[in-house]
Amino acid sequence: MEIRQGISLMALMALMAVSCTDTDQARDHEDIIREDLGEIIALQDAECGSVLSYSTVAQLNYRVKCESGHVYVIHVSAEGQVNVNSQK
Amino acid sequence: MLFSTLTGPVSGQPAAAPSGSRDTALQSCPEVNEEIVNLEQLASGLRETDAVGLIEKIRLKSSIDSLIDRLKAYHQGGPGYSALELQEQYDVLLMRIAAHLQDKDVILHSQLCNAWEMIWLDMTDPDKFKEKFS
Repeated sequence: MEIRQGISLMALMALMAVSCTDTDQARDHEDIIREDLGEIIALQDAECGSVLSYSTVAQLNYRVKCESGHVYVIHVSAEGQVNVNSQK
Repeated sequence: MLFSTLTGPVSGQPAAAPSGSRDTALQSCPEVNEEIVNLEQLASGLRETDAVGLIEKIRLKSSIDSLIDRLKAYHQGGPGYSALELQEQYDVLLMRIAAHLQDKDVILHSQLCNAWEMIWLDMTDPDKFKEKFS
């Protein structure tokens, strides 16, 4: 019985691993960027929710619209600091 | 600039601005005594640092591994993301890592700042990539 449960658990984990791989490969480029930009905003404890859209101002410089209604500019400084500035 | 080193088809138009428009970003990185030059060294630094919590370390590792998988598909010439899309995914992931490190691990953050482009060049070299990740 325990062996069966173990096998079922392993099968489930394998299925989840395959599902995750497929999901990642199918992910839209913009979804990947949106998620990472959302993570950066969350790190600053800034209110956002999910990222609705973003536009590229320049390389390493983004304007982000959030579910919360906030708009942020995220950019990397000359010294490599990641700055999140609210525009609302 | 960076993608002049890449060969192979480039399909689609990413949101990234042309690479010449980086503006002033990363132009004055603090000096470091010991440089990091590849992703393995950055990953090692992330494992050791106290600036990032355990859960976030696991999440960052997963994101790095996913990016490596996407680059692997690119280098193998399979379907997937374009070169410019991959560069943007790399840049934003490093922004996320830098946001974790800044003000908490100044040395690793400075090393990351200096190595930003170097690591990318390393990842886009087909021979080096194959040697490391195949």
